[in-house]
Amino acid sequence: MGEQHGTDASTAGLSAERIARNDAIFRQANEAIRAAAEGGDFDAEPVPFICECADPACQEIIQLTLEQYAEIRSDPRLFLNVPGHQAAAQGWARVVETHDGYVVVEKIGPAGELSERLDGAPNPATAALDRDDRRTRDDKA
Amino acid sequence: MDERQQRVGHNEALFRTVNERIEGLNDAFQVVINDFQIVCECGDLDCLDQLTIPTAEYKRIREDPTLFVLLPGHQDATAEAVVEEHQETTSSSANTPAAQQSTPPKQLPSGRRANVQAHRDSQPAPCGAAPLGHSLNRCRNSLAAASA
Repeated sequence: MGEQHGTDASTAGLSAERIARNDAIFRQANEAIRAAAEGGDFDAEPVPFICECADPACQEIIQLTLEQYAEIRSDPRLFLNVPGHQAAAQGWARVVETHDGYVVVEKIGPAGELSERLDGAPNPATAALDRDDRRTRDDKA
Repeated sequence: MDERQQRVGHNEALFRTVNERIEGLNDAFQVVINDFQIVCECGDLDCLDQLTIPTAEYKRIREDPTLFVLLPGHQDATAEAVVEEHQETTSSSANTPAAQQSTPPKQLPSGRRANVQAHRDSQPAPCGAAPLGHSLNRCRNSLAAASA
């Protein structure tokens, strides 16, 4: 059996900050794919994007048109996931749209706030954040 | 270069970008892995088949901008030539991303068979129906290489 990605277990123990940073790293990769597609006449074609779940080992591919991707990308709290991979967010995400082959999740709580602040950061893995943002799932209540 | 060749070139270049970003994720997450999963770099935009390839092998191939990694049978004879073939020995025949979740990742054996061969005049097989393994194709048109 192959290793399962995008599961609750795959990111167990990660803080909201780490979840948000992982999502932002995937988003940055997808932005590069979008840029490449925009230069290649893919306006009406499905483009392969990478799942933006919080599992660093996930490399699953999702097809969206550039328009569909842009709609998600317009809100810094929204991310595209393979269905079920929202579990890797450790409770810091909720599904807001379900489509054929992918879901759109909204990052919530501190992970959502951090997603907004990491949006567009040149290096989301190391971008500076306040200490108050570094909470874990146990802090939610 | 006709329109079809152009389309193939654009598609292959896009898949190469996807694979480069996947490779980049490993750096971003600061993980050191021996293998990583890439998307078949064939010219069929609907093909989302993935295969696992040693990182060093991918880097070697990537050094030549005219070379692309494809699942066997996915080559477009009008636009590219197979220059190497690698036989896989694991028993998974699943080629769809969904099936990949429940089957072992495909691996190249350490004693893989590799040969460099001339252009194969076969028609591309439909994606998802490919046999195991991957082939290394040299793109005949310069578009994909120029975009890579």
